[in-house]
Amino acid sequence: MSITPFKPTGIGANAAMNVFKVTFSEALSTNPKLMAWDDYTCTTVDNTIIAGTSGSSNKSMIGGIGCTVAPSAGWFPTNETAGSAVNTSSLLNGNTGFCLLSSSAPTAGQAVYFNVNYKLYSDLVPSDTMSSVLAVQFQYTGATPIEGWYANSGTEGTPVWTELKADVEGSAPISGNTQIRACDTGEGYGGTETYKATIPSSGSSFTEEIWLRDTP
Amino acid sequence: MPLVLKKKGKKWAAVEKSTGKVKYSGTIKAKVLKYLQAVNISMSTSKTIKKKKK
Repeated sequence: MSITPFKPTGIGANAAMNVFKVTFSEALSTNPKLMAWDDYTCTTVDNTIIAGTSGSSNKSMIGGIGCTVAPSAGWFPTNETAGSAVNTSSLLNGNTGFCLLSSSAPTAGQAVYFNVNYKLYSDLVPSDTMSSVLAVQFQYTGATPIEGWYANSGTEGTPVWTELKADVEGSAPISGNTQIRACDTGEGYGGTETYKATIPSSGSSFTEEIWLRDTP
Repeated sequence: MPLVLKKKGKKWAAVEKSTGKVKYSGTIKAKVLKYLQAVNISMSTSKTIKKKKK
């Protein structure tokens, strides 16, 4: 099942919890984590988007938050916290900065929710490595959970969950699975589709749009 | 003494084949990490300015 590229409702610094949803068909043994890594090996955090620049105080430029309620509009973390509690954001940086997606290990059928955002700094240069993966890590001790990944294409009040296809750690992204593209307004689907982002001339700014689409 | 591995639900036990006595036991744990690729953000330092046609 392919998806038409779309911007998940509420993604970014908005007061929205119904952005991404992951469901588990079986009980987990630990609280699942929202993490960011350089690539599909999920082992390194050297890319500039995670390692940061002087402008970002050498901190990650990816913000995440696990949600049971909507965060405040404008939310974005300032620090990397290893195991930031649900409803508290963290910059995402491997094992150094990650978010917990619930207050306890989810039971069978329970869903967890999260939102993400990207912030660009003026000292970035176009050649910086700005690729990453957004990962959910979960553990179980009983029956193997089947997890479902979704993003909201409805409204915050009445979500419509579009199913996504996640890749598996250790395997390169597969054509047809879902990828994330952050860019300027008008650079995504229906626009130029070049998915370009402009480095801010001073300070920092959030990317204007975040799209989901199939990996070509 | 030969051991036999037995599994029940999320528990495992290594028992002596002859006596059935449990020598070792534990809980089966599995860790899974799945991801969405966030493609390299293609950055430019300035936006392309479209000139209006005269």
